[in-house]
Amino acid sequence: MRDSYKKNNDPTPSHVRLYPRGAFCLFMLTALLFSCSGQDGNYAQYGGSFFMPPPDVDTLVLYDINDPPTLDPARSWGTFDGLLVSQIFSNLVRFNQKAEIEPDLALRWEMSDGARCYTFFLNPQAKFSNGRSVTAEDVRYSFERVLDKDTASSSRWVLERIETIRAEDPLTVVLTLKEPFAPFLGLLAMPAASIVPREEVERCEREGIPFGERPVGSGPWLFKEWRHDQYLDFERNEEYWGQKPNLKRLRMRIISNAFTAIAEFETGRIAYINPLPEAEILRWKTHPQWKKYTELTNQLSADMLVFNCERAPWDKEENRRALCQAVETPLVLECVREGAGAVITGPIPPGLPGFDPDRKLFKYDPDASRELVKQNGLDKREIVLLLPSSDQFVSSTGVIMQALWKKIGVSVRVHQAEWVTYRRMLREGEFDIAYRNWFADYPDGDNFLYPLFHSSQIGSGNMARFADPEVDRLIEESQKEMNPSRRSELLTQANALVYEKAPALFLWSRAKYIVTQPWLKEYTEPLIFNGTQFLAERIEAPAVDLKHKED
Amino acid sequence: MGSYVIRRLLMMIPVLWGVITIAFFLSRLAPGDPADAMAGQRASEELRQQIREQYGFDRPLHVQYGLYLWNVMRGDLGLSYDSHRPVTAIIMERFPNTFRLAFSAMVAAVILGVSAGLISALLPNTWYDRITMFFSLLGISTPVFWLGLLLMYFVSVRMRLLPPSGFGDGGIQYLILPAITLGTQSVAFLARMTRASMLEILNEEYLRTARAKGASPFIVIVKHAFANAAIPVVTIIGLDFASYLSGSVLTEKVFSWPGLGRHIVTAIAQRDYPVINGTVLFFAVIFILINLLIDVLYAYLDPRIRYD
Repeated sequence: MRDSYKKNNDPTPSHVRLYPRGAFCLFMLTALLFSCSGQDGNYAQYGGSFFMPPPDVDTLVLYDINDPPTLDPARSWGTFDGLLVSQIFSNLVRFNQKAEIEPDLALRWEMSDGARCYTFFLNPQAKFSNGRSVTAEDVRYSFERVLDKDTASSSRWVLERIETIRAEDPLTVVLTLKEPFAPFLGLLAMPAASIVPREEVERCEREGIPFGERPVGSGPWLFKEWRHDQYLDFERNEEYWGQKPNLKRLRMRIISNAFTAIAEFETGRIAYINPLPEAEILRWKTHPQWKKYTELTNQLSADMLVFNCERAPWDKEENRRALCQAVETPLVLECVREGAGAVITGPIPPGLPGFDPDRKLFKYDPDASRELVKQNGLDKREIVLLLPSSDQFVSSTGVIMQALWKKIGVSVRVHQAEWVTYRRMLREGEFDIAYRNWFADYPDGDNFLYPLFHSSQIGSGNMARFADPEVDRLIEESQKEMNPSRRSELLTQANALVYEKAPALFLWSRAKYIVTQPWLKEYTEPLIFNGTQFLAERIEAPAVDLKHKED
Repeated sequence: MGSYVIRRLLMMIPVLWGVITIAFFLSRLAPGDPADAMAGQRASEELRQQIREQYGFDRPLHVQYGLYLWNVMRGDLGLSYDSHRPVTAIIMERFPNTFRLAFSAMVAAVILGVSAGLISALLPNTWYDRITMFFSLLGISTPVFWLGLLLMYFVSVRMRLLPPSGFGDGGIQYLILPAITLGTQSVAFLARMTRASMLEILNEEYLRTARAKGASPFIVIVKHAFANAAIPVVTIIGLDFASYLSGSVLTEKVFSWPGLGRHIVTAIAQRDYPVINGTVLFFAVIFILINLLIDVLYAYLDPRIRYD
């Protein structure tokens, strides 16, 4: 009571004495701590703090930005889920890292009946991870499941060329095609053609769990756990009948932001940055420590601006060419992607049969374009350039095109739409010109010609609505031609003709920068999305890490 | 009070019906066809049509609505178009993560924000007050994603103290940075709000009376002053907490936190109607319940407030 009285008469406010300034000092200390920084370039490549232990030398940790929708081969159609499916399941044949076809479940195969009939002889050692041998009946079941309309598989097209599937004996399966199709083996290496065990699919159906959540296959990795939006864990399949992976575990993390992935990499918690965002390319490729681990890898892809060939004035070839000739593509590539890519003279990217390295680009001639624009009245209306709001460089490309075409008198309105709206507008032809990019499903020039420019694909993949009987004929002939050199000639002709007819302004085939950790050994970025099974990779940690592990 | 709570709970029914209806029709009004998101780039029109039939997109909108409403009444929020998993399972899988982040952020925000605001109010116009108010203004103005990346850079990349992102095994080390990022704006708001409320109250006659009666400064400030200044503070806490629970999209995205906010953004991009509608309904329930809790707290904090 007396104390209180004293305090109430003290000129100093009571609360000043009551609250020491310790809280403020604590705040300043924290701020100081936060402002501390390590020396420039002092990236601890091996992790190594209390909360961040060094990497486990038996686990390869990679990442992607989106949680995959499924691990069911019949429902998979994206690149990331396709890559994961190819770890768990085996196919009759598979792609290697150079996108070449290799035997997988099939030890060998024979062609007959004018390349209509394929007989595959299965490896008797091949087993599903539930212990049962893989049989020809499994191949039949798996393919019929994808083709079954009730499955509503978006990858049905992969197997639609098959007329009949016959299991001759437990280890022999015969596939008869409706007509010869030269790149057929490429289709069989796609995730949709993975072989699944019927009993496991039916067990999941009985239990009401999607098979894509509890996949069982015969691949080099066993599916262990899927924490949605966090990670997917795989373990080496010790019973795998082929070459086993060097590492024991594979973890695919879901890191939804590219810059977060860079921070994870810099703290040694993931093995690579893939791909490096455009804004970071310069920093990494010139960094004294990291430049030797920063690599440029080509992608089997084509970026283009497709014209709506059913809509005037783009139904006329000369109008399309007028716009193409007003663009210096190599310069645009340099500006928007730091030169990461190669300009293309047609839809087929470098590295595939049909790509002609000697073919010249359209002559850059803005004066001639301006003349044509005026002559054909292209300057009288505003045209809509449709872009997906996916990558920054796509927006930059749109802005550059707008400026370049303005120079020749064409007024462009850029319409950027998010993915689903973009897809609908593209499909329904609500555009004059639209950005399009295409990644190889299988490594063949046909994959860049038939779905994109064959007249039968209007309403499906042919968003340009381009129809040309000569192009159709060349594509169809190339599909039936089994002689590689003759086939390559046909693809080259078709590619050149498509370029000349200009249903699209062909931009570039993408390349991407990836950065790998110094401790990751034997990693090679595959040319095609599912062209790796992470068999050779090793993690070489320094001695201190091993000691830490033993402790 | 009991009857008031029951009345409010009953009032949830028409509100939730309104939410279901608005969410259903708004999601259908969004441009784009979910069949495009579900089918690949090479899908034929026949396949897209089959998907539309299989999922009932081809039915008249009122039929789809009636069916959805009927299923919701039976507790069935449907299956995700994307993953074919039950929406309820998706929500229940992610909500604990969202709750954990929101709760931690809010606890930190309340402790730091309220104490900073209290001290500021007790030391008005001093250097401490000015610095606190400066930092609170900075906190309000700092974009969440930028702060997140900044913290990640300094704390994880440079100082190696905490993991930059992820959920790991659920350890606290994964929670600290996202909780700080998420809670910063609330700290700032709460500091300013507490200061303003306290400054109003500190000059009231009844506080002088309390001191004159010999109450200790601690009792005067906490029991007599802060208890009366707490009502607007509690409102802010409730609203912030509800909004954090309904998904902290940017924080979850920057820190790859497996919460509901990040998932609903993906669902919207994919036109995954069952997930969008189910999650919006779930968020509405949370908002209503937290508002009810705040109202009940008002009555507890201020005896003059009576609902009966």
